[in-house]
Amino acid sequence: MVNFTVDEIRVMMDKKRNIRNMSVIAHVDHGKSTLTDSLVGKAGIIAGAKAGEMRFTDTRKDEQERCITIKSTAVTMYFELAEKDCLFITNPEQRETTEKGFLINLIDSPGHVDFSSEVTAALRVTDGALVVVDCVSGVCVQTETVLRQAIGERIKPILFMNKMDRALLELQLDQEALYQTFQRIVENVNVIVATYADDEGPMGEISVDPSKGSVGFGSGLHGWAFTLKQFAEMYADKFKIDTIKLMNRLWGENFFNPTTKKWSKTKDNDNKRSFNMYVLDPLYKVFDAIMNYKKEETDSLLTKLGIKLSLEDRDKDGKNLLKAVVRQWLPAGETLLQMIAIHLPSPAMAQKYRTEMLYEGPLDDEAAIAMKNCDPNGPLMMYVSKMVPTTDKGRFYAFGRVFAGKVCTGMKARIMGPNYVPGNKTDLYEKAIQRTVLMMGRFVEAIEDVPCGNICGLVGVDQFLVKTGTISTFKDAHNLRVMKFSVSPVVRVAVEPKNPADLPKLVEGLKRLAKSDPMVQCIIEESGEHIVAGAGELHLEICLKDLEEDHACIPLKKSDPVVSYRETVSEESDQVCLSKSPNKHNRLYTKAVPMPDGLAEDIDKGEVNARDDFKIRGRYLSDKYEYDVTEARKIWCFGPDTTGPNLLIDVTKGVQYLNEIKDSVVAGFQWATKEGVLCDENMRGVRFNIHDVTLHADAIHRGGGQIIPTARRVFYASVLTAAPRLMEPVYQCEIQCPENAVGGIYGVLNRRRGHVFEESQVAGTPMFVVKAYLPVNESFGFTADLRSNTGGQAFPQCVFDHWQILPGNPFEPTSKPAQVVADTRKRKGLKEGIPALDSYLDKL
Amino acid sequence: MLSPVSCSGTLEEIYDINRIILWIKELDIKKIALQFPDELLNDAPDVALKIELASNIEVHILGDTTYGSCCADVHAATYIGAEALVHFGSACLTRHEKFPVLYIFEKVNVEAKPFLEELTATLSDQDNFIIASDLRYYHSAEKIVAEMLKLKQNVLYLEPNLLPLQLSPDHLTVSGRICQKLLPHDIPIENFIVIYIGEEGLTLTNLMFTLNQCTFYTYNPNSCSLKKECLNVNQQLRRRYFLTEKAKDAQLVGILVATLGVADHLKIIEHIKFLAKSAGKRCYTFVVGKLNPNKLANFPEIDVFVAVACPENSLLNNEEFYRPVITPYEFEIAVNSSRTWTGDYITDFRQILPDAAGYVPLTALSQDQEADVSLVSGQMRHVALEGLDDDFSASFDQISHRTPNLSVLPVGSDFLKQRGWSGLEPHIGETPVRIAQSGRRGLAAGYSGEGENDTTEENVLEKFGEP
Repeated sequence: MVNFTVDEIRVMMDKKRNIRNMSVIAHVDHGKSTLTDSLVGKAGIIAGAKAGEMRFTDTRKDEQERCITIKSTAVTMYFELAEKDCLFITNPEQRETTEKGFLINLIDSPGHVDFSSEVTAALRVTDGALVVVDCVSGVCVQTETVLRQAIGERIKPILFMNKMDRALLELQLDQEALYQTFQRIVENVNVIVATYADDEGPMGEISVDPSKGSVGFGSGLHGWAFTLKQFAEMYADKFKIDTIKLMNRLWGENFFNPTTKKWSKTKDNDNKRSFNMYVLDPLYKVFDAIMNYKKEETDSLLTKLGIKLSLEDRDKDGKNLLKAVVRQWLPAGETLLQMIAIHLPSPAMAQKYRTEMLYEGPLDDEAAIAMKNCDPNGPLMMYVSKMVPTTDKGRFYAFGRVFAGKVCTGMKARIMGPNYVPGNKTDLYEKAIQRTVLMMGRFVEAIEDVPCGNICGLVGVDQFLVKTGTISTFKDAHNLRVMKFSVSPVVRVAVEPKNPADLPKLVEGLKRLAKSDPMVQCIIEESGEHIVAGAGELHLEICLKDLEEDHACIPLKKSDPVVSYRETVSEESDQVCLSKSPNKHNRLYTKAVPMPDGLAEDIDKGEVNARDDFKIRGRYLSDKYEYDVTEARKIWCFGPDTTGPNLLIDVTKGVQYLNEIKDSVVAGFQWATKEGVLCDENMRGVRFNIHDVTLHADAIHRGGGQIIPTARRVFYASVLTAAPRLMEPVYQCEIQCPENAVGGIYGVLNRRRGHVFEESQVAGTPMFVVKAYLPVNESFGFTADLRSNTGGQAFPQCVFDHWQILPGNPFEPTSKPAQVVADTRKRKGLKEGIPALDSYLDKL
Repeated sequence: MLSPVSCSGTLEEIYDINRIILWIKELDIKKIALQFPDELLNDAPDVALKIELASNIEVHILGDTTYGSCCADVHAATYIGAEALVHFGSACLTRHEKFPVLYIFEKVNVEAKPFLEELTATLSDQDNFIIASDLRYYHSAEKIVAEMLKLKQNVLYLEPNLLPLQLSPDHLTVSGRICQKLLPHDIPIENFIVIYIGEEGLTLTNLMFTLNQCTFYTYNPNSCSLKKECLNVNQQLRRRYFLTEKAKDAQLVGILVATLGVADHLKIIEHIKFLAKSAGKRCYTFVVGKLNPNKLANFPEIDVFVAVACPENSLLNNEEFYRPVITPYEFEIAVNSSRTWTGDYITDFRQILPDAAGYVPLTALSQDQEADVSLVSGQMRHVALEGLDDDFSASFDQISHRTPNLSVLPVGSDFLKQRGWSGLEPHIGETPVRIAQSGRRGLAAGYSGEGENDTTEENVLEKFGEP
């Protein structure tokens, strides 16, 4: 039975200091959903006995079948913390005086790298993160990625070592080895945390420390967990020491000599590590007694620990009995609750330091101040981070976090999309919010209003937003910053309906799919193909399945996955290219030059962008890339789409009327960089220099009509004379496997043009980590191939890393790039063959 | 083309002068215009002279047609006061405003026998055919059809529709051609094979777009061979579909008047304006003569152009154009939610006008459609509905208690605001004051004094008083 009502929750929502918004993040298969069950079970939403098996937050059928989380799922829960535990919360912003109840909004997120956009969306609306690490495999790639993202969003982490049951039962690690494993994981996590933030930062102390209770140990599957706090409490009376002091003694280099009853900082022959002695030893004893069927010892242990088994449990033995016993002794739900309530920040606290990261507008306006103070009486500021499908086909709950004010059913609000600029009307809607709802995993509960600091869903705003947006009642509100994803949609599939008359249904379906996933891109290409682009094969597979079954509901034809390419140049143009306008009165002289390494990436990241002051940008370019300062100041624009990684630079001297044609040349540049000359793909890493321009003296003869097509032609000519090349996307691929499988990995990678750049052993485990670069184009079927070549022991995680030139000259008909160009042109319905230079280059 | 090489005979025979004279007599008129395509202009004086002598009326020659030479340039004819027009050469056969037009086609013979042999050789197992032909083979095509009818059951012939007949919509009418026989109800049109006698060209493309469910074969009378047409119509249609998506995103629509002769062109312009307005798009009408990329790139603020032209000139290749140029039918798909993309294609805009066979009434946009995701940009596209603006300021007022002054700018001026250069550079105080001098003389193609020597440019600059 659910042990709280919506009304109770609503009351709690106003107590902003007693709210904890948190996400559960980890590497894939480290047990997030299973662990989450313990809390959900404690809240009474699912039966306690089922916790650990049900994976309540895996709401989709395919999630249950595949045993993998695909979408992040939110649950709102209410708990009461024991009086003695409340004393551990010392910061007044963390607890309303005398209030014991806590409202926990938990978001369980997927661990597979293909779905890490879901993690990003979850992190945005929460203030704390429970980082789950499988203590057998240790800190993995995805652990690091999500942790880095969390720190970047100013999310405070706490750590949980999961799968202790495996360490004890399968690996049979001895106590000291287990301690060392734990110690190493804590260290690894803290190293990552320290890389991206320090304890003196605005968030305060963010490193995790077992002796403070911010690290939990246990097994989600068996439903038990503990922190040092619990053990310290058990011994506090016995030792007559303060719990907090004892916690410090129970971790690290603290050794106790039971005979002399002396503490020591060093290991001697006759003393034992306190953690092993007081924490692991009892646990090992229980395991040993039960698993080896030592009935009497078990009974005496149970009385010692004060555990009374139910009649049902008494009949169990072996693993089942063990589960029942430890679960009663050290219930995971209780431990997690304590960790969350004591160590994770409340919205009241978190929003103080998160506001400046989130808000795009001035930090002293009404909205920013209300957000900082988490003020329910201020103007409404809410960020919608994702869309959750409703039972009503095609409609979504807009899921997000209220940062300031209150959102109520029926209120009118401004719905601002990511392109909204204050004072403008693009991407702005003014609509009534039909309903506010509480997200409870697979269920929702209607609720009248939701004050700031809480997570909720909205009905009736989904059709005005594509994926994310800001909702406000403040007229001058700026947007809340858009999320930055750690993955990019580089794998693409073209879809078409089996029955051509179903096209409108497909289009509708694509629009819904675009909303339902934070990352997926659904676009129609110039060629008329409908493209679905995702982060990886698995992501696409899920998206296409959703499209076919839920969104479009029609049978689809799918192409094989393809990647998109980029066009670039590898040398400077061998001549200054000239193109004349149709009336022959205007001439443009340009050259194409490849950009230095790293500049295109800097532009992608926004370190060099169009909005910067031209002087600062000029200095940056000259310092880092040795660009001539005067030239670097005369960047006309970036492209395509005015932000892309290509530059147009004016290096002319004293040309008359140049300003007048600038817009036309820029338009031609945007056009040319969007649809490159080789096969209509975007250009990347090309710098165009305008060397000279001669213009007709009469303004009417140098209008856009004359200049725009000419500019496009001259840029094409410049590319064709600068040894054009194709670029392909490359994954960084991390593979964990036992040593004997490493050989198999190399074989598979070699066949797929991959190359290994790092190989290392995970300290303390028999596992190896191989890091490699793998062209995305070669990655299709890679996972399956790898599994079959390593006996299923290797599991890769691929994340888009960079663009790399596809070796070969596209003009040599047998080369790989030439093949790609020919295929792409054919697919897009373009004329065969790269256009000849003389169709763009004119003679004086 | 009508050239002495391909059709032997005297001018009278090639140009059917006797028939023209008879027609003139019948009409009883004083002044006539003769329209020649560029490649036949050589013969124009002789033909005109013969007609003038024989019928004793005033004859004018029209060359350099304003739009496509396939359209009868009724406008130019009325401009010179002619009462009738004779159109020579290939034509798109679009219906015109009430004006007597006589079409004179080229006459090239096609032997029936090799055609039938080729047909039995390649397509012996097929029964249902639609025959269409290039206009120059028109007079022999009839014979071929008659021969085919003896052998096969279902042969439909698309003959040029020269009479302004109003036929029931059951008749198949494609690209100025009409089928006199009714389509059999029991055989779906996909089962027909279209055989086009002639070479690839705009007419064929047009036919293929309109009858896109059918398989196409072309018969080349010179080589006497039947060839399956591999123009990927599906791919082409998909490309057109992309353009309709772009049109949905467009804020500013340019209507290009690329015909003045085709009947109902004013109605379609009004219709497009109406559609654009109901979809919250602003539109402007452009008359630019023959379309080319340079002319249209002079209006970079326009998001999409809708070309009102005869069916054969409507399907432009968009690769070279800065902004896409679409047909009225495509525009209607974009803005009229009750007309959906089914794969059928209408190139003749008259069919989508009210009262025509293909007309679909506009349904009012519901609130759901007011906001939509664009699959071109992946962002929201805003459909500005009328009355929304008032709504906006009123509700803002309630919320913030401030005077609403969200200035509503027309989309065009938004574009101008983004421009880097917005007018003359005054350089006030930077240039010395000079007495006005006489400027350039002559045509823009070459002002007097320009290009005489290498220093012209400097001279010009000096004249303008700048260093």
